[in-house]
Amino acid sequence: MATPSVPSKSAPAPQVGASPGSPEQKAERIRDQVLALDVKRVADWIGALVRTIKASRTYPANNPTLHKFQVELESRTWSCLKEVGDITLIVQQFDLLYENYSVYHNADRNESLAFRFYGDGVREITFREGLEPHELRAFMDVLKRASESAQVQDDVVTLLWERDFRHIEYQFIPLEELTEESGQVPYAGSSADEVEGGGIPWPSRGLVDEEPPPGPAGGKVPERSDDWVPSVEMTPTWDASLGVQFALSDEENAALETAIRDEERRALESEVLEIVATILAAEDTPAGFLDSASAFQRFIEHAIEEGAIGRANELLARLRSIAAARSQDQAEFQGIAEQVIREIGRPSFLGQMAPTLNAHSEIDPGVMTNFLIQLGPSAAPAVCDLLGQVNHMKYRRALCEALAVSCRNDVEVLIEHLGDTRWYVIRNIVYVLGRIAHQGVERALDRALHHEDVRVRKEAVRALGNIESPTARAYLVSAFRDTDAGVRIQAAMTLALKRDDRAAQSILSLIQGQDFTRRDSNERAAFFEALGRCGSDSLVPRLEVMLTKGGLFRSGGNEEERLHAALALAWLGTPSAIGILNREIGSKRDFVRKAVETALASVRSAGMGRAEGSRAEDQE
Amino acid sequence: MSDTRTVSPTRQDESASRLILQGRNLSIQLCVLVKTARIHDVGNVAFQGPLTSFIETVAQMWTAEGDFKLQAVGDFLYLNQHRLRVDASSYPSYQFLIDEFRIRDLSGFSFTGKLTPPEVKKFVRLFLDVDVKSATPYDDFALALGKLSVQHLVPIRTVVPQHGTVSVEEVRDSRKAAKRSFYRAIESARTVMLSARDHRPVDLRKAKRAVQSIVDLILEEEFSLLGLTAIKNHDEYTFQHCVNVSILSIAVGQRLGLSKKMLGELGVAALLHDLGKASIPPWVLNKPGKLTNEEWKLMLDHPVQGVKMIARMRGLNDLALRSMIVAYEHHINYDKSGYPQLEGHLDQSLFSRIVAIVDCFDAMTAHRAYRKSAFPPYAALHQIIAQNRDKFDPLLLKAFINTVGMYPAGTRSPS
Repeated sequence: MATPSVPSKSAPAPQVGASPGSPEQKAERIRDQVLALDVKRVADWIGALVRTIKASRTYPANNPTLHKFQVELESRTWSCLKEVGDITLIVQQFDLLYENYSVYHNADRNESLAFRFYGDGVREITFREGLEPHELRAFMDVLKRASESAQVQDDVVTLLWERDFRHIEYQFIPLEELTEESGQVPYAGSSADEVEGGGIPWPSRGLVDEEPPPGPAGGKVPERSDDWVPSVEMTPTWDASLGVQFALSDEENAALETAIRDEERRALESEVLEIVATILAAEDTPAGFLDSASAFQRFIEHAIEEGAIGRANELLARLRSIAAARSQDQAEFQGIAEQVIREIGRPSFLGQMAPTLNAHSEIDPGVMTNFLIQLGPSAAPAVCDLLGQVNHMKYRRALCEALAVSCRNDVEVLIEHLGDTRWYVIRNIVYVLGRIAHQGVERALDRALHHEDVRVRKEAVRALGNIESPTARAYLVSAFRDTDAGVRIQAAMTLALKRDDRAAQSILSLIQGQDFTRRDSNERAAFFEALGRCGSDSLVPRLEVMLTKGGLFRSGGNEEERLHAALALAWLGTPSAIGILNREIGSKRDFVRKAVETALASVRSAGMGRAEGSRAEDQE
Repeated sequence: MSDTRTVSPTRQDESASRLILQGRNLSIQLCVLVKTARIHDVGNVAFQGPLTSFIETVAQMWTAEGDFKLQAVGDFLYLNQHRLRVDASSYPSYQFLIDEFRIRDLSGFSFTGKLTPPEVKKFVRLFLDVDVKSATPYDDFALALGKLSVQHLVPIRTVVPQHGTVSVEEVRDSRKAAKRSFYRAIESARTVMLSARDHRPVDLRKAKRAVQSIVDLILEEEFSLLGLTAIKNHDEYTFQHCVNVSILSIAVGQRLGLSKKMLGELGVAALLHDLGKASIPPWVLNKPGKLTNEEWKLMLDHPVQGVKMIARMRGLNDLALRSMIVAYEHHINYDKSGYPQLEGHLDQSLFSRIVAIVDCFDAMTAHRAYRKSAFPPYAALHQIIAQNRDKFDPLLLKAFINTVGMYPAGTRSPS
């Protein structure tokens, strides 16, 4: 079909109020007004169509906002078809024309609906009255799938054909002409030798076959080298006495119908997988094994693309088990399988699966972790990439768990990702480094300790807490000088978990420092708590003095410090510390007694609230 | 002036072959010239290459032959009295010229001398400027050529058809559509196979579109296409065989009542059934003599290679999966006596069983280098029924015979 060369015009303006003329002029004006309204209706309808397409790209299928767009589109479609009748759109490169008027224009090749049709060769499309809801939905699906056509071997034309619409008709040009329109002239380079062999005429009755090419000299019929081997010499004439009945009986027709239904319901993917697995298991050369394993790889990747991580996991395990079985006689097969598995973890593939994960909230995080662990350390860069793109927290956690296992012996890739610009990615990487708790990553964590985002710094403090090394301790102590009180408290508490005198000494040094008193009351309390948590009896005399400072009627010092000392003793919890608290809870001095009571209550409530507090922190 | 020289038959054949070859080049170049002029102005540099080639070809031909004519007669192009033989790659160009001639009431042109670039440029401009809706497009064109002194390209008027040719036209249109789909399918089969062989990305869209138009044609009227499968061209055997198997499979599927979508999938799966053969060297495929064990191994491996090649294509949708199943199973046989014989495989799918029958039939009726002569279609059917029936699904075999008839297209009348 030739490209329509219809000039586009802007919508006609309704000529309301024009001076009356002859009956013909009147009729003309009315026609123009009706046309203008129709053009507007069609343009509005296409606007709704485009909005719904955009929404379907943005929102998952069950999203209420998308549903709203769909409902609006449906109602506009029915009303438009009712008012206007059949809608025929001429497709131009960036425009859709209705009655020669442009009802849609978008010159962005990636976004333009017109270009989507035009680029695939569609030149005209008609929506007939009676269009059914399922047809409209299927049409939308065609447009959605066509935009994903890089992944599938389809275009708008092949997809429309498959749907076999009753109320949507379209005209298109063949792909060859499409190439020509784009300025490339096919066949121009046909080489002269292609003509050899000649052409194919239209068959006619009494057709004369072309002569076969010359066979070998000698006259004897050679054996076939093709795949259908005739077992006998050809029979020169039809033997009618064969008596074969070729009409299909009712039972036979019914059996065929059943066979067709079975074919439609066939579990194609699992069947093909069995074929590929069978081929893989039968390979006897490394090249063949690699070839078949690569085919197997496609199925694993397809499962990942579909969000079927469980299936991908099973397939991966199956590939490994086939390789293991075959490696008994072909040692390199195992290596080939690993090579293929490494390939699955490439960032250009695995790193692009975030949209799939975001669209599938039903995936078991445990299965996902297991799958990623199976892919091994080579997948780590891709997994790190995903950390910045995945929306579901449970998946981010699964990714972190996988990284913690995969990168156990090689943290370099994690350290590289500490340079990421997104704070949340860095925080996750820091978390993973903390899980691995490798000595030697402290310097990298120190970088995180100076990150501008406080959440990253807190995570770095936690991670350093997991590492048993003097360097880690030194960095933790350095965090006491952080600009954020939360980080300072976190550092103290983390160091306190070491429960040794060195930790206590570090905390005590800070408490005794000149600027400690200038710090916030909560922070001071936290540091005393930390001191109590990690200290030993050697601290008791000093704390006792702080608690009991002053005479019977005179407080003799800082009441807040007294309270903090009581708190530290309570957290210390050794017999001598408890002995002092027991003694002072009966003190005649109110301020001492009250300090002890408050401290003990605080420790009790902290014990109860600790679990919830840590949970809330995890949710952050 | 008549040529009184005596030419031996061999030299005459050689001369005709050369002329046909030159005629093909000339036609394709003319087509390119016109198409290029539609996109670019004749002064554009893009026009220069096609222009030079065309002028050189005409000069060579005129030097060798003197005046000559390129004419469309019916569905074919003729150079003088020689019909230009159509193949998949020349078909679109020939059809383009035939259509362009027809709408201008032209039969073709006489070439009466060497051409110059200005002359050809004027000619192409005028050719494109002809008002095809005019009552006298031929006269307008001829007059314009005369005015601009285009002397060495003389238009030839179409002979006015006889009364009652409307139905002939209709038949021709339906045949033309069938042929167009047929050639497109062959071209797409070639593209797919060669791409797969060379590990280039395979674009199945062309093949899908070709198969979809075959389905449409068969649903409308199956005979035009079934007739074309009877033509056996041994030089394009591999590709044409794939297309034949696709057409015949779709026809059987239609007889069975498969849905349009399933017919499309069956057609593509059938088109790709021998894709694995792209991995076999042509000299093995066409070897006239007995195959060595190694060569047989290659032949027997083509179903497995087919699966691997399809698996490499983009997208693992139902179509690709069905195609893999058919590629793998089409030689397994209904009684499982065929190959590949790998453990644990279940029964053939319906599509594979259909393709197996059609594949066998079409292969038996083709001329091959290793066989003295092809089976006539009815004899191939006889062979299948009498000697090989256990290898095929008996019900589908009946359905196939019901589709092609006891005396399929290509069967000669008894003489």
